[in-house]
Amino acid sequence: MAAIFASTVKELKILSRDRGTLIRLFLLPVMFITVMSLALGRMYRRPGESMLKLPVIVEDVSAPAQELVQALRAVQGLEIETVARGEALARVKDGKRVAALLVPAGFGQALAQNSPVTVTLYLDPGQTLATSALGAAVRGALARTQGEAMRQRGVDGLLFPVEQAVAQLPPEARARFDLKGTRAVALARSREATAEPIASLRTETLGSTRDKPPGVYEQNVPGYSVMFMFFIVSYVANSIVTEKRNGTLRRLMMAPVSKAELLLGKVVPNFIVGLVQAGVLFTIGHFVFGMNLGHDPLGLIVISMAVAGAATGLGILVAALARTEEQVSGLSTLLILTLAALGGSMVPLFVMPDFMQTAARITPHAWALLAYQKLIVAGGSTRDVLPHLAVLSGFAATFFAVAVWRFRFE
Amino acid sequence: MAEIIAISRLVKRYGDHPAVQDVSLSIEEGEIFGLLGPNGAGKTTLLSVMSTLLRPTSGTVTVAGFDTQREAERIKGICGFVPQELALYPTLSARDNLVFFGRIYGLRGRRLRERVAHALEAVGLQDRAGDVIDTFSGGMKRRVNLAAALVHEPRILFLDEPTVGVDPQSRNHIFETVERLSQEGTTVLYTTHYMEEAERLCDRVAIMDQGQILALGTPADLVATQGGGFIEVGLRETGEGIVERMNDIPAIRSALLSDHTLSLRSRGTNAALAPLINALSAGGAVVGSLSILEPNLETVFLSLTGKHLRD
Repeated sequence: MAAIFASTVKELKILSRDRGTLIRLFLLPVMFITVMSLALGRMYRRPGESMLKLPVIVEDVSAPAQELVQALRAVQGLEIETVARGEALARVKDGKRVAALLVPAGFGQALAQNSPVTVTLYLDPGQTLATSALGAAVRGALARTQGEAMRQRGVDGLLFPVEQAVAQLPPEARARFDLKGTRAVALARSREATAEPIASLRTETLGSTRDKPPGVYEQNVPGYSVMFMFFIVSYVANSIVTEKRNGTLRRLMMAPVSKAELLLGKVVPNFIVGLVQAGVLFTIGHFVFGMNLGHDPLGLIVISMAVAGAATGLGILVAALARTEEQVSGLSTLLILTLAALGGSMVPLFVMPDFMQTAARITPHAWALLAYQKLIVAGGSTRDVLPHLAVLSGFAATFFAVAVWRFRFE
Repeated sequence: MAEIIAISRLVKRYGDHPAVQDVSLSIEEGEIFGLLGPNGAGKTTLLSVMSTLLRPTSGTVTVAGFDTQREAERIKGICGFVPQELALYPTLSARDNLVFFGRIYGLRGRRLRERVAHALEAVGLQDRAGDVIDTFSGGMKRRVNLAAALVHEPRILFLDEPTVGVDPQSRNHIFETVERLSQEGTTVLYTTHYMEEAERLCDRVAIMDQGQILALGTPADLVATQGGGFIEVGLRETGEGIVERMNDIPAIRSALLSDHTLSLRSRGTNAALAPLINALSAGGAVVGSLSILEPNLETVFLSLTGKHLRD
C-alpha cells in the first residue's frame, strides 16, 4: 500500500514536470472543445433558438403587408429583420444570410382588389436546405395573410352590409328576407378567393460574391494534406534538438560550414518531404476519390511549395524556442492541432461563423485552403492565388527570421 | 619541432564561473599532448577554445598560425574533433556517418570513398561498415566516433575523453590508432582523467585542476619530481600534532592532512615506513588503513592538489 502511494506520488510529480504531456492531456482537449464548438455551433442549435435570420424588405405600408410580417414573426425559429433592399441583398450575396424577402409596393391594394401580386424571395444558391424550409414558411405566412383579406372581402364586403341593412328593417319586413342565398354567395366568394392565390411567391437566386463551397473531397484532401504537411514541424524540431543533445551539432559546428548552411541543411530535405507529401496526397485524392484538380497545376505547385516552406520554417522556430525534446513534442503537438482546427483543416471554413473565419486568417492553413479551393473548386489560375501565395510566403519568411534570431547553437 | 598551437594568457568564464584561468601553453607539431585532470578541471573548455567552438573571454589562441577568433574557418578545415559524447547518427550505418562528415569537409567522389575506407580501416571496423550504429557495442561506437574525425585527414586531432565506457579491446584500438596517427605527423591533443592513458600515450602532459595548469612536462619528468612515492594513511583518530610529527621524519618530504586522510610525499617509501609507524603511535593516532602508492601521474596530481583524479 505504501509502495503504491509512494509510486503514485512520484509518478504525479514526474508528470507535473512533463509539460509536453500536460499540454496533450489538458490544453489540447480544451482547445479542441473551444475551437470546434465555435466553428460548428450552428449545427447544434436547438429548436426554439433563433435559427435563421430573414431580412424582409417592406415597400408597402398597407395593413396586409404588416400582417404578413407579423405572420412571419410568428414562425418558430425565424427571426425577422426589416431592412432596406440594398442592405438585404448585400447580406445574402456575402453569405451572411441565406435569403431575403421583398414585399413590393401595392401589395395590400392588390389583395383588396383581388388582382395578382408577387412576393420575391432572393436566395443564396449554396444554401438549398435552409432556403427550402424558408420558402415553406413564407408561403404559409402569405396564405394566412391572403386568407384574412379574402375573409374580409367575402364576409365583410357582402354578408355584413346586407345583414346590417336587413337588421334595420321592421320585424315583419325582415321575415321576408331569407339570407341563406347571400351567405352561400359570400362563402363561395371567399372560397374562390382562397382557392386561387392572388399573391404568389417567386424565388430568385442571387449570384453570390463568395466562392462556391467545396465538395467533401475538395475540402478534405487539401484540408488534411495541409494539416499533415505541418506534422513535419515536430520532426524538424526534434531532429535539431536531438542533434544538439547527442553532440552531432557541435561536431558540425567544428567543421568549416556556416550556421546558415547548417540550418539550410535541415530546411531543404524537409521542404522536399512536404512537397512529396502534397504530391502523393493530391494524386490519391484525384485518382482514388475523383477530386477535381482544377486547370492550373502550376498554381497547386507554388501553393504547396509555400505551405512546405511555412511548415519547415515553423519547425525550425519550434527548435529555436524549445530546449528539450519534451518541450518540442508539447509545443509542436499544440501548434499542429490548433492551427489545423482553427485554420479550416478539420472543419470547413465556410461553415464557421464570421468571426471564426476572420480568426482563421492568422493561420497559414486557412490561406492555403482558400488558395487550393480557388484553384480546384472555382477553377482559378495561379494569378488568382497570388495574394494567398504572398501571405504564405510571408508566414514562411517570418518563421525563418524569428527562428534564426532566436536560434542558439549551443 | 615547430610550435603549432600557442595559447597566451587565456581566460574563459561562464558568467562568474572561471572555467579556464590564465593559461599559457605551447604545443609542438606532431606531439601527443595530454590534458590530465578530474572532471570539471577545464580540459574540455580549453579544447573547445582551441578548436574555435568557444570564444575566449580574454587572451589569444593561435592554431597553425591562425587566430581562433578571426580565422576560425581556416582552423576548422585542418582540425578534427572527437567529442566526449557519441556524436553520430545512430540509425545510419558507420559508412553513411563517415560519408556525411567527409562531405561536410568538402570531400567528393573517389577521394571521399578512399578516405572513408581508410578511416574505417584505421579503427578496425571495415567489416562492420554497413551496419547501423545502434547495433554496435559501446567500444565500437567510440571507434566510429574517432573515425568520423579522421575522414578529412586533419593536421591536428582533438580527442576529448575518447575512452569513456570502452572495453579493453576497443581502448587498445583507439590507442594504436592515435599512436599511428602521431607517427604519420598528426598533432594530437588528448584529454583524460585516466593517468594510465596519459602515461602510455602522451609525449607531454599538462596537469589541470580548477581551470589552471599545475604542472607541465613529459610523464617521466613529472613523476621524477615526486621522487620516492606516496603514502596514504586513513586515520580513525588523528591524535595530536600529527602533521608536525610527520614533517620531522627525514624520509618524508611533505605531509597533508585533509579530513581523516594523511597524504605523505616520501623520499623513498621503504625508508619512510618504519619511522612513520612509530610517529603515528607516538602521536596517539588510530590507523584504519595504510597504502603505499608507487610514483606515477596519479601521485603527482595527489601531491599537487591533495585530491585523487577520480574523486
